[in-house]
Amino acid sequence: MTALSLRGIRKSFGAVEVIKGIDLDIDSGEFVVFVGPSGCGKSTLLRIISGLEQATSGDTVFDEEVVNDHTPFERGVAMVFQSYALYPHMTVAENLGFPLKLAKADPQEIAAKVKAAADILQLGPLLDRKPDQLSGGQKQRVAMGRTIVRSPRIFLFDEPLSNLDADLRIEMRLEIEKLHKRLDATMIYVTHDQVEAMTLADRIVVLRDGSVEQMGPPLDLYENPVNTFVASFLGSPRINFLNVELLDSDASSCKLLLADGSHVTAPFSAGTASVGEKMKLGVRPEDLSASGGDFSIPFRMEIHERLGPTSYLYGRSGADSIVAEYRERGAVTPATLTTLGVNSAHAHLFDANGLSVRNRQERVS
Amino acid sequence: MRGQKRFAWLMAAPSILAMVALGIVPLVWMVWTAFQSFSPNPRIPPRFSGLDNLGNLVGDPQFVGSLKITILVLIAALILQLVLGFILALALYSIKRARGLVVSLILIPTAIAPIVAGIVWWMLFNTRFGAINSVLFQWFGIDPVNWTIEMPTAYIAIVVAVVWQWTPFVAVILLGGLTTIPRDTLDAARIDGATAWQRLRYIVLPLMRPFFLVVGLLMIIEIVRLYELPFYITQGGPGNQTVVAGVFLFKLAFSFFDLGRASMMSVFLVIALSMIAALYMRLVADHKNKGASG
Amino acid sequence: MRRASSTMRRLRRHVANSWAWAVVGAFLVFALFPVYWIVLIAFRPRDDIFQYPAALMPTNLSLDNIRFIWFGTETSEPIIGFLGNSMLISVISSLIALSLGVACAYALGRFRIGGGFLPMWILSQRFLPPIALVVPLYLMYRQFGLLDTYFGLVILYATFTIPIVVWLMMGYVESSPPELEEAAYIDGAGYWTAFTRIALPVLKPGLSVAAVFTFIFIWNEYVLAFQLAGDDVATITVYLPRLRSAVAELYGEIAAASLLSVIPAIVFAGVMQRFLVRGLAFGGLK
Repeated sequence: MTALSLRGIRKSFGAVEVIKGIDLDIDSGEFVVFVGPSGCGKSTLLRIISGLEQATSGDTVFDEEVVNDHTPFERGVAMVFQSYALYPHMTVAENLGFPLKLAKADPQEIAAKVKAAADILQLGPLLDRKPDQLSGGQKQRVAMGRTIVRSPRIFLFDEPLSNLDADLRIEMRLEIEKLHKRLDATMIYVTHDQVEAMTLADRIVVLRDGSVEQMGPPLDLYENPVNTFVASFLGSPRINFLNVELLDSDASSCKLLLADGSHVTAPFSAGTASVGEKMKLGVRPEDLSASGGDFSIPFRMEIHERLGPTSYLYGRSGADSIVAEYRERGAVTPATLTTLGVNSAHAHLFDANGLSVRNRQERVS
Repeated sequence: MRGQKRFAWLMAAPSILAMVALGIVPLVWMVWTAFQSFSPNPRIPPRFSGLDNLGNLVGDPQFVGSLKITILVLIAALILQLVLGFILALALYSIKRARGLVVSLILIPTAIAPIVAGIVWWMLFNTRFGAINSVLFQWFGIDPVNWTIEMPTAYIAIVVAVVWQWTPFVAVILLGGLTTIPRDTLDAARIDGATAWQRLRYIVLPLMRPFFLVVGLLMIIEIVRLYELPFYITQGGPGNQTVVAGVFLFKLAFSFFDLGRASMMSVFLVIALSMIAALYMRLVADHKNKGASG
Repeated sequence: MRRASSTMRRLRRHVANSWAWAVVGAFLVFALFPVYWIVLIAFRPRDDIFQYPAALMPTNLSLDNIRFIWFGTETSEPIIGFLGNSMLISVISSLIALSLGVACAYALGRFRIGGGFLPMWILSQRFLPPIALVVPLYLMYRQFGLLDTYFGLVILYATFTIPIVVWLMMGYVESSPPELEEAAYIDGAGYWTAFTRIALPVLKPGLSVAAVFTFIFIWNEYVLAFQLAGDDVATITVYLPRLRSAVAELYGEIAAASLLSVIPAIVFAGVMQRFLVRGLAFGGLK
């Protein structure tokens, strides 16, 4: 069942249009992550869904009901803010119980619900403290607790982990995942961190400049990015782009001219791209290897960064900088490498406009 | 590094010396003269008179009267300043366009010399040629009111002038306080279902408490030291009924040349002001400590 | 339907702001009407001033009042001498207070001398208004022959404004990073050089705010100016009440003089407007 629909949402601040027409349906129980670079409009979109911000045009629909003019409370949303936004003059218990107090709930009911939420998030010992006596992680828990108490229709998260240090971020990420499983609730989560997006989402919505670039399950987006933007946004280290020129193409393979003058034959079609077109070959670091692969590209190594079980090789192929994941231990000394093998099954060819040729093919067919 | 403390004390010394010479020395001098009797003739030296000045002062109905009118002005002006100042601060907070310009226009009354403020309101309240009676007559058909020479209108005139001069200042301080409340906190309250009124009551007002206290104390001090406005607008009249503490002090010292009793009155004012100041500094210290730990 | 709802949205935003503008507008009228009235009376001919009811709109324009004030008469000196006195005293006292005060603030904020007591004592000085000390100061000045001297008034004004400067500047000193001066020490600078060459330039915005406060405080001060000076050394605030006499109703003339007297403070505050509002907002709790 559809919990939320956005229909043609647009938003302008003065003359600047920050959301340029977004249509989106979110199913009940789904975990959707809005991801994109800062300024892409993801937080504004979340604020429009919450009712804190009014769209300039378009409809927001909750459970088949147009809620454009509803307040956040009438919409039944709960939200975790990047700054946590705990009320500094109230204790943790008062923070948790505030929405219930406003709804004029019976004090015993408030106490019971606060206790239930505190149990879920292990906040029991903190209930009498004020926010400035809490650590970052504890504040984060309280902010989440405040959403649970409400039993909202939709949970909204606005970059909730970005103020935490790395370890705590992983811990809280798992906590949010657990919460989602436990409550089976609809959640919308905004982040600029692609790892959070990949790990948490049932579905990722990649935004750029106020428009949706692509949406779908995380691995789909990872494996089949529609353009260079999505390809480079997901995955760390980032995907490599090699500048190539299309020499020849048929239904099952294509011949590409590399920057150093060598050509390679890749076992996939270049779709509708025409011969002579300048293209980009996208290869993720894990699809490059010191030996093997379907074809090789020239490589000159500059730095070997050892992380433990895996390490990364930084270098150049012609003029393009390249990162390759390196799993072999000692088989080949990286310094002597002159070529890298490409696992072509996971390579992507992008046309001059940055669009994936696979995608172009699908659109044509 | 060597000589750090010495350098720092050298830097602070001129200020400290000046403040001791013209702040502490007069205070001590004042306490001394408060126990002396002065003759109006400066050639006759003062003589020690024990607690006579205190007795004379407390027994003087004008002293009691000056305290009464000062407190009456204080209560009315303080309430009006805080209420109106907060409403104005909220309004200024809500407007985004031209806020800087509006704020500087609104601050003009505070930047004007108190003596000029006195002149301005004296003119406005003038029975025959003032703007206020003119408005009352032309728009509402009300006959001229003898504002400054009758009670309680003379009192009202003083309160209006005080409110006019200081409400902008109160509003700007409170506006500064409003801007310290993070937008997220207010948004979170909206999400939690708080109406505009509830956000004001449960979030904004509790968070504004320290600002209200501080600006309230500053205003109390302003009114305790009030002199120029009543001096010019009502000249203490009618019949000494608007002789506030400051005007009374001046009359003792420079109309009656009873410098001993005037010193005693000054001691009284200084003690009152010190108690207010001590409260203020407690607040500032608390605020600083909180800021440091948070 | 979509159009209707977007009109609603615009309307709602409009309404949300219009109450604020209504409040602000009402306050602007309250704040500025007295100023308008002074301007009106200052330029109104004598015959029009003494009419009942007073005309609320401009009538005939006359420069008689301004002329009276500007050139003076046998019984009343020209205003320029008093403005000059005020300007001289305000500028010199402010400069002294700023120089001494910033040095003191730097010593307290950077090197923490005097523990918590010294800053608090200086703050407490801010709450001793001139009127509380005018009687003993009068006695002291009479004793030392400082009554009615520029020197006496200047040192007094400087001293009364030092606490304002110290307290304001301490905030700025504490929020500027000590690493700047530490880098200078490493480069071989002494304390004095690091203070004048490195710290002072960083503190300039704060000094501008402090300058506005001290200048306006001194320019507007009446109690000390009237009791401790007032004959040879008469400032503008002492001059103004003198115009009010039982003999002649110098109504327009008083308005003209008041108008001229507020111009410097308002111009100065206007020039420093941006600093001022920040300083005020800052000053509440700092």
